[in-house]
Amino acid sequence: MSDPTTDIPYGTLDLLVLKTLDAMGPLHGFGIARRIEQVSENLLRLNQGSIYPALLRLQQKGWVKTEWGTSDNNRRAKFYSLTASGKRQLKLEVENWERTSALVARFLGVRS
Amino acid sequence: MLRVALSRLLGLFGKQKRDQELDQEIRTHLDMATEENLRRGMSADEARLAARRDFGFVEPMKEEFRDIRGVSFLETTFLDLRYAVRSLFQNPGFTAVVVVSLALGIGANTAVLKAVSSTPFCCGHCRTKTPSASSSL
Repeated sequence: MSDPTTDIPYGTLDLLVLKTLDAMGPLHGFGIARRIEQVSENLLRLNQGSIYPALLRLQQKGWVKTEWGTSDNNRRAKFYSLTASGKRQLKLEVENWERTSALVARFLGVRS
Repeated sequence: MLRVALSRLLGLFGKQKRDQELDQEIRTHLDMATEENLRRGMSADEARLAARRDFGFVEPMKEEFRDIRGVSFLETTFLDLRYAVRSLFQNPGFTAVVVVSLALGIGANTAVLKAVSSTPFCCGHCRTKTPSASSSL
């Protein structure tokens, strides 16, 4: 029997986080994790905690900035949002990803 | 690259505050997850457990977080140095032996070099290579 859920392909979590922030605007860590799970319709096995190191990496690169704010139910939470260079980076990474997957698809489409 | 290095350097300061911030973020995350699970109709215990399960292991994540922040390397180097100095003071006999052998070794080396460089045995280049040693004679 094969397990329908899959781990996040290595190196793509950063892209998923950037895209989520781009689509949703400022969001706290839990919101980002839940959104990624919802979009993947539970096909993805995500350790929600793993987004925090990813967020820190993105922050260090200057693609994401943080701000403390209050959540819907009045909790103090750290909100993450894209910076201008983060938006540029997202565009680049999307292009890269599309190129790579088009290339692989081309190989898989070859009939012998 | 420079930006990453800089933010790692800054990561050395206010370590405690940043650790507390991360702890609070994790707590908030777990609280939010628990709340959502309660809304889905889980019991209180179930909701808390499920929140922890979805989050994954906390300690390895914190460790990774600190590694990225760049604290670990310099921090452990500093701890090593402190440990070295402390153990030297705790063991004065050993320290004395080390200091004396280093002093003798360096002293003997210098003395021999000085002696040799002032005799005709010495080729020209060793004199030019140790100008301070030959000029002080």
